[in-house]
Amino acid sequence: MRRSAGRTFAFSLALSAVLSAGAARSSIAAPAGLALRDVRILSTRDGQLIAVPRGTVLVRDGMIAAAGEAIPIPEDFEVLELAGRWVLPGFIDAHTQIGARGECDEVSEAITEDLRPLDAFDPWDEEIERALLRGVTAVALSPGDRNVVGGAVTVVKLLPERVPVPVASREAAVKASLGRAVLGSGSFPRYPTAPSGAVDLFGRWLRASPARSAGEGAEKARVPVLVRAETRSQAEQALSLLSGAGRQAILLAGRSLDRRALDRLAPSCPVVVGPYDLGDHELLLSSAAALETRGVPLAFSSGGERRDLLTSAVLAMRAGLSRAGALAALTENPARLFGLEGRIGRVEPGAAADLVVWSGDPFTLSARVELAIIEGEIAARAPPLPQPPKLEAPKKPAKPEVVAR
Amino acid sequence: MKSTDLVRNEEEPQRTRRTQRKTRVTSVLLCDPLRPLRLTLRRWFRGATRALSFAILAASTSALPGAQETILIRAARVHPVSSGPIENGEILVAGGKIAAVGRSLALPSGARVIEVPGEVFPGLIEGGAALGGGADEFRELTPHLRVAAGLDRDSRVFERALQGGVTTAAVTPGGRNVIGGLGVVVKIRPGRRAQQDVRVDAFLSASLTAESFAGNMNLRGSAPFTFYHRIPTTRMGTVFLLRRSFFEALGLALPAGLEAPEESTLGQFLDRSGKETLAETLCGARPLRVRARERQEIEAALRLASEFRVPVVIEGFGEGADSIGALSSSRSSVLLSPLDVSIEVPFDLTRPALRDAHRLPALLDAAGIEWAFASGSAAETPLLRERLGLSLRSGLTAGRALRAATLDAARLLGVSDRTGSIEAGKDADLVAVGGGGPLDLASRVEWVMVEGELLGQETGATR
Amino acid sequence: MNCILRTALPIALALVSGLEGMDGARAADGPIAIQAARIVTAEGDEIAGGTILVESGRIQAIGNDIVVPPEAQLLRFPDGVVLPGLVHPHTTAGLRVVNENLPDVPYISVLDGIDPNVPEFRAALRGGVTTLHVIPGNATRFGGQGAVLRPVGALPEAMAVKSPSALKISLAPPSGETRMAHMAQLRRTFDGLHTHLTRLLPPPPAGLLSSRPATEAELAALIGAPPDWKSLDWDRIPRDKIEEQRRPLADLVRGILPAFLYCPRAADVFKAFELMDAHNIRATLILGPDGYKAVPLLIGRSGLGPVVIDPDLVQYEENPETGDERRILAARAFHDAGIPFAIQTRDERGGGRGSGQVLSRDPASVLWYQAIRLAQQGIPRADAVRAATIHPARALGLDHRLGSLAKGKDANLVVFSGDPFDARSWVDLVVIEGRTAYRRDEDPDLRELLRRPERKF
Repeated sequence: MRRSAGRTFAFSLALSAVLSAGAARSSIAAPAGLALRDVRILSTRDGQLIAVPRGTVLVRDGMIAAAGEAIPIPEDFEVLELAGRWVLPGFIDAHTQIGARGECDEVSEAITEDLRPLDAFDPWDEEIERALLRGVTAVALSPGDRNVVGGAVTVVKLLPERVPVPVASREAAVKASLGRAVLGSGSFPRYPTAPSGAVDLFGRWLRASPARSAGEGAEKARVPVLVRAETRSQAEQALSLLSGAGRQAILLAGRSLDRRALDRLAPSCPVVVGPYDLGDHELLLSSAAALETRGVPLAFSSGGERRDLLTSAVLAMRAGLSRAGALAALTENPARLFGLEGRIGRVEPGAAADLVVWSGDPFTLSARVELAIIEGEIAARAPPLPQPPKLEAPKKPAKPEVVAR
Repeated sequence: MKSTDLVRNEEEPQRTRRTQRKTRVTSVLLCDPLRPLRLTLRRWFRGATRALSFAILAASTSALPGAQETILIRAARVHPVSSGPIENGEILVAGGKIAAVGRSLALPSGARVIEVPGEVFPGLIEGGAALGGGADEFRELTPHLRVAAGLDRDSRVFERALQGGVTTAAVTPGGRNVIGGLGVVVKIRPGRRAQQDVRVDAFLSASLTAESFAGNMNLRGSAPFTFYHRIPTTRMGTVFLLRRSFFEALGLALPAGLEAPEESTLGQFLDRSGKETLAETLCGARPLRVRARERQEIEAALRLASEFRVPVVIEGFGEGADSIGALSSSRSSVLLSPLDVSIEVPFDLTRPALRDAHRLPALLDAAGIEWAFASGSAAETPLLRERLGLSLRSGLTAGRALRAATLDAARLLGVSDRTGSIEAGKDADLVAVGGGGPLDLASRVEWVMVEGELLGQETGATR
Repeated sequence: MNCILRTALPIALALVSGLEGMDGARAADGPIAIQAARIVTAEGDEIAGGTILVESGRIQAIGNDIVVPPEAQLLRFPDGVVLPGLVHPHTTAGLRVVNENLPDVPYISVLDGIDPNVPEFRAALRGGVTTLHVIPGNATRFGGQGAVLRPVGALPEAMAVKSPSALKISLAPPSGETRMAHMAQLRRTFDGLHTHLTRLLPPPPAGLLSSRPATEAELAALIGAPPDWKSLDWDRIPRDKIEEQRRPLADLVRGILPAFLYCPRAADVFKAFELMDAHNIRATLILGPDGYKAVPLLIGRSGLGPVVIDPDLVQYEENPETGDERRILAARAFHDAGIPFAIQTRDERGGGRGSGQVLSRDPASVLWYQAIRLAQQGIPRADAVRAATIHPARALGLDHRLGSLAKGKDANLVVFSGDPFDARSWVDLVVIEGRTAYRRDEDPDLRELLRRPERKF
């Protein structure tokens, strides 16, 4: 234990030395790329786990140039010696309001489809760095749950202190909700006030959508609708309305639909679940595994600030989700959901170099993130762990001299 | 796009103004004259094909495992309701339907046998209760909102109703809105994904009770920032709003006194889909239900019925003993609350007209008016069988009371081709109780069967 | 002259009203013989086709071969079933406000608050209830003293069968207070009582302490420990010196006055046992909705009389995570464990109209209907009858007098028009202490309800 801690410390020093040397060098001649040497690579492809026990990842121009065993490293590449650490694709949170500082619910109207949560995103929010150090490199930034149609869902990479740029030029999805939070009341006077009103309004919006101008409207009509449902009946209503309108659906089941409800619902569209907590009932945690068995594409959501995305996946694994399924749900599935397949979410040539370096197997929850890399640049670096004080062995008392008589 | 835009854009900006006509004539002419004929033909056709379709269905049963079973039920007494009780009766269930009912039926091989030492009767039918919560209260006139859309089919109220022997229920939007919306008739099968709605948009529900204006506040009151600042705040307002909405829906010129100043002061308007729904209903597409319990509410409902020549189903009718004459002339029917009909339940000395409520079954029967039972509230539905038992104190026979909660209710709801009695071809919706009569308060529900699936056979202190 | 009138007049009125009963004019104290198809005595077997002879307020004979004196008024009910008059062990009927605003009011008595003219008493007679235990509600700590009443009489004093009957204690914390504070306050009240009583004791003989009365400090030191009631020498405490407001509490710990102890949760039952043991209290437990969970505790407790169970006889328990609901036949749980229990009703009063003249429309506010629901849960009918008759009588300490039909007991009985467990049966006759208190054919309310002879039924 002490030995590896010492090694970590030493390596952190070495790393910073190398990097600062690299930085110093950059003023002279920037390195052509980055090489992550001696790493254990874990990724997925179409739901299959791809593991390389000892390999190298080459990054050039923000993209992954090569990843695998025994890859030769070009001369002018900056090399990070990672001595057996794990490298995974950065996780993608399928639904969150991180960085928006609570400004994601526009309550004045029930339908606010032209709102963009990106407008409320604050790159200086400390949560961003924290999310990076928990392995999340991209998020689907989404409006909250208080509107029947809340606005655009945009996939954004977590680059702290930079102007946020969406990964794709158009919006990834439209957020909708039929849950309780959309309902008004006497003290919050806004239509709708009952579930039937919410369903009616959602239906009207769907019917009215294609009727807009050809260019923009047609584009928008192809975007999937990420819809939250809190009961099986709400999900049925939402999915049938969406399929009737020819729109692609993504069901945001969240924490409300447990395995039983999902079994009864038997959705064929992708489902976003989570966040899960340690105290959650088996019935809720096993919904991910049940969906995997049915072949339903699955992704995880942290549901907002201060929730760890990985924990949801690990708890789902405890309740039956496979390792490959968990990793896919954290990486390539959300990428595919939002039309970014192959661009992010995998460690393979051609994908963006959004990589996270872990000190060990992330699914044990005892490993930590050491480096978060976005498009080839180090976005976050874990501070060194506090070291226990070095205890000196007590001195042995001197042997008294025996004077022979 | 604002949500109000969505709603308003569907409204027709220009009303088709017609010259002054008497409403009596107009409502008939405005409606599609062939509609009643079409509806009748549809009904005949449905009835004629029932026997044929049963044969087909028996062969191609639904995908549910429980419904595949062939079951022979032997009971001390079977109450088909469509005919007299059968001592030592037997019922053969196959493919979720009743295959045969009688005595000493042939036992098919592989059939499961269930012995019932007590009575078996058709699953009870709840004539009307707000089992899905209430209507959207943002506006008072919401004819187009559908209870089926907002219904949580996994809700516990259905589980409890089923434990009480209720297998079919008409879910209403409650009485808070003047026009609450389109109700749905459901077969109670909690947890089943298979078709549960028996009749969607089965009726339009309106309310003239005090509930519809309770909670609304005068515009002159304080804090005018809640949508509850609106008409109606009185019974006059309720009747006014309902009557005006009928005129608007039918596209008629509003008579003097019904024109309103800008809608913003009233806050109530009918959008296009609302008008369409209401117009269809007034022309006979589906029954119009009006909740009315006190005498003046019933009278107002019957006045509207006669003015617009539309039959109504009056839900409640507690003080209606003196209004029965007006009922028969308008081809209307009634849904009674079983609690109103029981005498021993201590009566309200401040409502003299309610005293005669226990006579209503006999009076309605004598006048030849169709009636059935409706509990009105979700808390009462699981207790329907007990309330029926209490209603026997008014002199109703068990057979008559049972019929009012099974076959008569099925007819009133338009689902009598599927359920409401134990007859070959109908769904196998059955309730088994201990001995002493189907409505004996001292016996409890032993099991319930819905479309051939058995639910609940536990005994002992926990269920 | 004035003071004679002041004392004599109420007594005269009470006598007169006691004699007349609710419907007047069956002033006969003479013997009445009632013949019916079945007589359910609530002890032992039923009697088929028997006769009951009552005279001078008591049951003189009961059986198949009794001799009916010629001067007896003979009432035949060929299809009728006789039951003991029903006993309601825990009600607020007659009280307009059931809980005092202050939490500690053991000295108030329901007799001061009862309105004999409320419809609940007429409804009780119509439902066959001959004995009602009226006691303050569940929202005060020491709620006051109850009284066992007969539902006939013009004044509460005329109605009283036993007063005071019991002291109401509730373990339900008033709103805003935690359970801890509530229990602490209970303990403080008893400590205060002990202090007060020990102060009233004559001083101990000289030698042990000086002849001066004990100082605050010395008493406080004594009071550090929980009060020891057993060692208190009651004979030496002058009763008239006990503070009037504390006298009921003193009677309580002395064992003279029992308590009716309301336990809102099953978890309060062992707190109740603690209180009963620490302060020498004889108590009848009134249980709340989840009282069935306390069945194992009740089995283990010896010397406990019948418990009064919650009016909701069927309970639902929800699993908060799965959303599943379990339906529990709560009354059956008591029966299966062999614990004697008595039933009560939901509030007899309806809400909303303000005049207090409205009765609840809920059938569960009728005691006999609750008994039928016991049978519905699978409890044998004889036991259902007991839960509404002899068990509540025992809980009230009056089972030597009422609650069952036996020679020598009060002539309190009900005649049903048919099988009492059939909803179509009516109460035809109610006899209270040998006098006819109710006859269905003379019930003015029913007559009012059923008038309009032109609408034949």
